[in-house]
Amino acid sequence: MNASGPTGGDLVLRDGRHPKTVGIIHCVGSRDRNTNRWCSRTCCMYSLKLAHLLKEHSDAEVYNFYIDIRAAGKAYEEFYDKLLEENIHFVRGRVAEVTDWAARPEEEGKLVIRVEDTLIGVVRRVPVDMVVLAVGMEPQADSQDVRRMFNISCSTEGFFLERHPKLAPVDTFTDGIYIAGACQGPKDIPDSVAQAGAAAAQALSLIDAGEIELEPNTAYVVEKDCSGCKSCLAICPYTAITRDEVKQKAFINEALCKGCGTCVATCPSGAIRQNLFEDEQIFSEIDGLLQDRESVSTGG
Amino acid sequence: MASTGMKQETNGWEPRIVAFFCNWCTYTAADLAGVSRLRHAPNARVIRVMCSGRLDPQFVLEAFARGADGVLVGGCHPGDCHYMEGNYKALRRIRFLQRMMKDMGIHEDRFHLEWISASEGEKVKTTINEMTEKVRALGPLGLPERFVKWDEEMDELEHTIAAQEEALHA
Repeated sequence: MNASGPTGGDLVLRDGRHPKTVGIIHCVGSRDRNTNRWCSRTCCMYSLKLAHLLKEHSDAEVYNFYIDIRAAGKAYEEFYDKLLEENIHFVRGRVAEVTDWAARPEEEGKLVIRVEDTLIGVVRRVPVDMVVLAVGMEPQADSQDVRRMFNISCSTEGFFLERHPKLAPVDTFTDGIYIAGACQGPKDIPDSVAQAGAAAAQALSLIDAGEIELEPNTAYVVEKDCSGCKSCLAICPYTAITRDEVKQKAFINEALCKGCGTCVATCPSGAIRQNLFEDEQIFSEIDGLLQDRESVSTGG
Repeated sequence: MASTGMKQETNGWEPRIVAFFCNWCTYTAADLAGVSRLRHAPNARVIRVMCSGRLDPQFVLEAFARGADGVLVGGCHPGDCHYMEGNYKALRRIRFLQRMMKDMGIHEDRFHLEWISASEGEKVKTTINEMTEKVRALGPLGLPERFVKWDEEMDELEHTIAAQEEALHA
C-alpha cells in the first residue's frame, strides 16, 4: 500500500491480479494459551489502518476477524467508529482455519476463512482472495544476549523488566541502564516515544547529578589477612577485584562492587568482609533465631 | 513458639528451620507471600543475604551446631540472579556441602536449596510447609545436646585413660 513501495501503492496479488476481497485476521499468536498469552496491543490499530487504506486505494471488500477491538488511545475509538461507517466488515470470532478446499462453486480458487461469528452464533465460510495476518509481538530472538550484556532482568515472556511497573517504568535493576519501547512489552509508537523521553530524562538526571551513589554494602579486603591466592578474582561478576601485584594482595574497587558478597563467602582466609553483612552479624542472627532453643539445652 | 522449647521431649517439639533468602528474589517472594496473606508454617526463620552466593558454608554448619533442625536456602532461578551468577556459585558450594553433610550423618532433607523468584509467593509457602513436614518426620537433630553428650563421653574417656596410665605407672 506504500506509494513508494515495489507496487507503487497498488494492491496486487502474487500473480498480478487485484484482490476483490481481503481478510484481515487479528490476534494471530496473541491472547492464546497455545502461543503467547499477552495482547500485542498494536495490531488492532494497524489492522484498522490497513483496512482503511485498502478501502481507500482499492475497491476490495475488507473483512476483519477479531476477538475484541482494543482501540484504547487518543482518537483511536473515533477512528474505529469511522471504519464501521466505511462499509468494512467486522466479524467477531476467532478464525479456526484458512483453507483452499472449496465446498461451494463460488469458493473455487479462493482462500476460505472458517470462523464462528459469535455475534450471530453461526459458523461462516468467507472466501477471500488475500489474507493478512496481524501477527503477535514477541521479544527479539537475541533479547537474552542483550539482557546478559547489560545485566538486566527479563519477565518470563522475555521482555525486559522495569524496576517498578508504576514508580520506575524506565529504570532497570542495573543503574544507568534504561529501557524504552517494545523491548519492555508490546507498545505502539506514541507510547514508545513517550517512554523514550522519560528514559532520556532519567539518564540526564544521572549525568547532571555529577556524582554516583554507591551501594552501602560493598565488600572490602582486610589486607593483613589476604594471602593473595586469587580465589576471589574469577568469582566476581563485575570484575571489581584486582590483584595488587606489588603488595600481592586483592583489591576491591568500591565503585564497581555491587555488594553481592559472593567473594566474601569464597575467600578461604576470611580476608574479605562485607559492609552491613559481616560474618559476625550473620552468626549473631543465627544465634538470635535459635536463642530460645539454646536456653533449653543449656539452661533447662 | 516460646512454648515449644519447654516441651522439647514431648510431642510439643516443633522443627526449627533457619532460612537464608537472597534479597532480590526469595526474600521479595517471602514479602509477597506476606502481603498476599498466605499462611505457611511458622517454623522457618529468615535471614536475609544480598545474594545466595553470600552463603558461607560456615553459616549452614553454625546453624546446625546452634540447634537448627533444618536449613533452607532460597535464591533466584538460574539465569535470573540479580548479580548475574551468584546463584550458580551458591549451587556449586551447596552441592558440595550437601555431600559433606551426608557424610556427617545429617539427613539430606534437613538441608534444602530452592530457586524462588520474586513473583513466587505461593512457592515460598509450599517450600516452607513441605520442608517443615519433612523435618518434622525426621525428628529433632539436637546437635547442641549431642555435643554435651559427646563432651561427657570424651571426659569419661579421658578419665579412664588417665586412670589407666596412673595404674601403669604405679
